[in-house]
Amino acid sequence: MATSFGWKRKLPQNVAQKRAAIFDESNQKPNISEDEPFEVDWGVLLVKRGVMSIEDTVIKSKRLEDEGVALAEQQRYWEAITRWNEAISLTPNNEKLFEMKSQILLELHELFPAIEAAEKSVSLNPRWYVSHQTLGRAQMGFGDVEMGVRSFSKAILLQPDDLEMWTEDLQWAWKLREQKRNQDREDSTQESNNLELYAADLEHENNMEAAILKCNKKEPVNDTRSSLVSDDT
Amino acid sequence: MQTVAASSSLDSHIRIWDLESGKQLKAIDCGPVDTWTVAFSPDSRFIATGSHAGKINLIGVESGKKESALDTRGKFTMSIAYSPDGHYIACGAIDGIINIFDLTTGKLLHTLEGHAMPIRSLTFSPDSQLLITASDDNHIKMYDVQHANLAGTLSGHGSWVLGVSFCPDNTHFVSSSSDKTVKVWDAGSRQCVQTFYEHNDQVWGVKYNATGSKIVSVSDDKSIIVYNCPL
Repeated sequence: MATSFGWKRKLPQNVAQKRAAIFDESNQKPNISEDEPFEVDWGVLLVKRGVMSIEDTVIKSKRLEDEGVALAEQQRYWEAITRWNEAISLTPNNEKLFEMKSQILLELHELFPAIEAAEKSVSLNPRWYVSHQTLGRAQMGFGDVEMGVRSFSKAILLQPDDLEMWTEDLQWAWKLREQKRNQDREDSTQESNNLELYAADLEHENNMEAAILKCNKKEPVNDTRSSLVSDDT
Repeated sequence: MQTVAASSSLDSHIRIWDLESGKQLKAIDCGPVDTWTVAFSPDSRFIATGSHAGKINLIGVESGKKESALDTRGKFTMSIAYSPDGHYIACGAIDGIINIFDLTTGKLLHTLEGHAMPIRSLTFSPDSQLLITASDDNHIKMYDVQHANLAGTLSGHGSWVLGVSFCPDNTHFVSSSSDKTVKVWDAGSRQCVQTFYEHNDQVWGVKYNATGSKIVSVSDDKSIIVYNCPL
């Protein structure tokens, strides 16, 4: 029993204790025999990992981020994304990683994933104008000009002294929105023209039907529809 | 006299609206990317607008033309306010600098370096003695207008402070923030007396009504909320 005492003392008061307790119990049975050095080692390892991991993930994520940036600069985009995905798994709340990933995805014409990444970045930090700008560009790439204008406007609202965003992104989005709206208007007038034609067609058909019914009137018909028509006439 | 409102927009136009009919009365083209905020003078004859290079333009409401200009020699003007007595204009820049102009002389009266981050809103007290500034540094500051003394720093918001407005009772003012709250403050004790948690997103603007009995706030959650304010 002396071993189990030593095992417990080596564990500090942390989250790992609960998990360790499970191992402890399952390891208690063969404990009486000779595997006591293993158990002590295991405890030490566990504690060390718990302490180290907090520091390590942030540093490692930063290193992966930098590697990804270097790769992206060399236009090795997919490799950059792999690095950043790894970094994201280590630090899932870093909005900068998602924003960079979105830019690269847009570069690769992976439009929907680009929008998703930018949206994630916006949701992590809605006050960072860069992610709104990137989201806008992704939406424009996707063809959603209305949302693009909205995102650019939001970005400018957050950072109005960025002239480029105002003169380049927003002006461009406005122009495209104007074009799209004109196009839609044309389409809808064409559609309504088509509808009118169809309606005229339908009326014509109805008239024909009525005429046919009128012709058939002489013969006794018990059809309700024809009786209605005959009432009219 | 008509009740009118002025609006500024990303399309670089200032528009004047008749609030009775909802019709647009006038559109003033300010040139590309050169207007951000607007403020009416207390006598409604002028609109003050902050521009990109730090210039403040005074536009005549009747003429629709630039009548005069004040130069802050600073950065982008994010917020602007006329004092209710019509003597001063205060403006807040994106780098946190506050400039107060004396309109009788047309000279720059004070430059205050109270904040290090953008000033999104500022407001005078009804007696024009106090100036309240709201900044992205999460703080609200109070200044004595005549002597440019810092009268107090108010902390309590957990994020950017986006809007401030003084109550007509001259003792209270209200602030809104990116932390989704609206707070009512007592200017005398410099304490927060009420916090509203009604919005689900950042609250961009907040104002008192003319009698000080109600507060209205507008937010990114697409809602406008009116609060009864029995103070």
